Amino acid sequence: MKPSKETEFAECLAGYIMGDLTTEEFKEYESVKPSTGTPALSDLERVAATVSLSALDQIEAMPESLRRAVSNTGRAIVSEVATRRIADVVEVAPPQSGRVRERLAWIACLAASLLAVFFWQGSQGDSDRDSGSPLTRDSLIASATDLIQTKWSEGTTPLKNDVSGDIVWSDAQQRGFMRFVGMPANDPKVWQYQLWILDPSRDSDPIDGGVFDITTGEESIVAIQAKLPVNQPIGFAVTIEKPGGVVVSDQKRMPLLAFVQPEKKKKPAGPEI
Amino acid sequence: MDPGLEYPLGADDLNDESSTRFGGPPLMPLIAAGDTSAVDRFVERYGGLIWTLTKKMTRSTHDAEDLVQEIFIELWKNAAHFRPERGSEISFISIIARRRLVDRLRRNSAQAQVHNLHEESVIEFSERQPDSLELADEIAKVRSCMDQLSPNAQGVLKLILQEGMSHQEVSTSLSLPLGSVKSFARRGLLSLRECVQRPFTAAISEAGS
Repeated sequence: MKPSKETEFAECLAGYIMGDLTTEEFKEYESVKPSTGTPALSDLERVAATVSLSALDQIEAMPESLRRAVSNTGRAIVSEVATRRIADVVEVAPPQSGRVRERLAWIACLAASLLAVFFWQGSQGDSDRDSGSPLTRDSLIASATDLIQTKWSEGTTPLKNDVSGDIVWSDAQQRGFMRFVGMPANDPKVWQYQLWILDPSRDSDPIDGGVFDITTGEESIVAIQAKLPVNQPIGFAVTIEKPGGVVVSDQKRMPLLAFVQPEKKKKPAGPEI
Repeated sequence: MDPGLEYPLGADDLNDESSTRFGGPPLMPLIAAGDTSAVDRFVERYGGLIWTLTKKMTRSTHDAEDLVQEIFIELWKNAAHFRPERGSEISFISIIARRRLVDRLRRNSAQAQVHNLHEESVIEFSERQPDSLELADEIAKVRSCMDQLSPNAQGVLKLILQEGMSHQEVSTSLSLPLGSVKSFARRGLLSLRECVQRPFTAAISEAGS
């Protein structure tokens, strides 16, 4: 006997919560679901979550390093994002499929730009060695056995000035620095720079590398403030954003890019022969 | 006690949420208001729970650590969606955690879908039951209701919801066709919801009969 429409819809909701809808079923779900969600859906989700909880006999303490990382990230997000009531922004954002498309477009745009830089850099000479950098950057360069170092290139919306410099990063130390020469100073009350780290091995979304200001057109060194662990970055992008930065960039203003060429990863540390 | 174990999750911890480590005033509203001092308290209160849940449902410590960070980020960002009058903080947390787990399973699956559960940022509970049930009651009721399911439905739900297995893995583990796994999972979950929404005494007497 063919199940009733009601039964079919209920099973569709259950499939949604269990994460096993086929593409066809998902389209059907999208076409019939109320825009505000349904109590039935929420109840199913709650029951599923309770089933998961019910299996826990004992709770294990979180590793200390993880606890520290979670707390640090939390404080950064809560002070930067929650205070700007990002949740309200999320609620009035376009429908979810639109947000996904927007993010994919952002990734595609960034990836395409980085690819162009890759080919451009392929025809250039090796990166120059900097001098006179702060100790912290120097110490990272000296100590990291997996150092990534790559030069800035023009992004999709280049600045009027000729900007040079580079970016250094260590996956192992989860530390890195940006170096800029000729970067225009910004007024933090009007706009700020924001770094994005592209790490497809970790996630499809670029990782927020921190909001920063430039106060001088001469050499500036800025520490990277990655909001998530970075595993294998393939590129970096600097965008111009409103004060405080954004969670997802509209990538309308992307003045600088840096591509990590595979052969420039994992450079051994130590004296050069 | 194993030095790695922080405390048992059992009678004392879950029977009265208002007077245990998971109790106290909810911290989500403070976090939503930008109170960074609530972050450490939140991690202290729920970190072990999220870590244990995640570790149980992932295949490696590295995956678990990565996922825990994702879950917490989702919590920080969605703090403003928590409504204390609609459900407990721990339920909110467990739902967010499960969404991320499902998203990860989906990302790792060859049958990746076109949507993410976590994009459904608003969590609305029905008015019918949750605010009248403490967490321990809910867990007791869910356990009792699980016992009433068919062995296949129980097995499928446990492997998916408690062990973090994909449907394909469950199919292999239980030697069931993939379509049957989906059916048992969906209908089992619907039956569970129906059972949980019945008065506790009715559910118990039904189990007894």
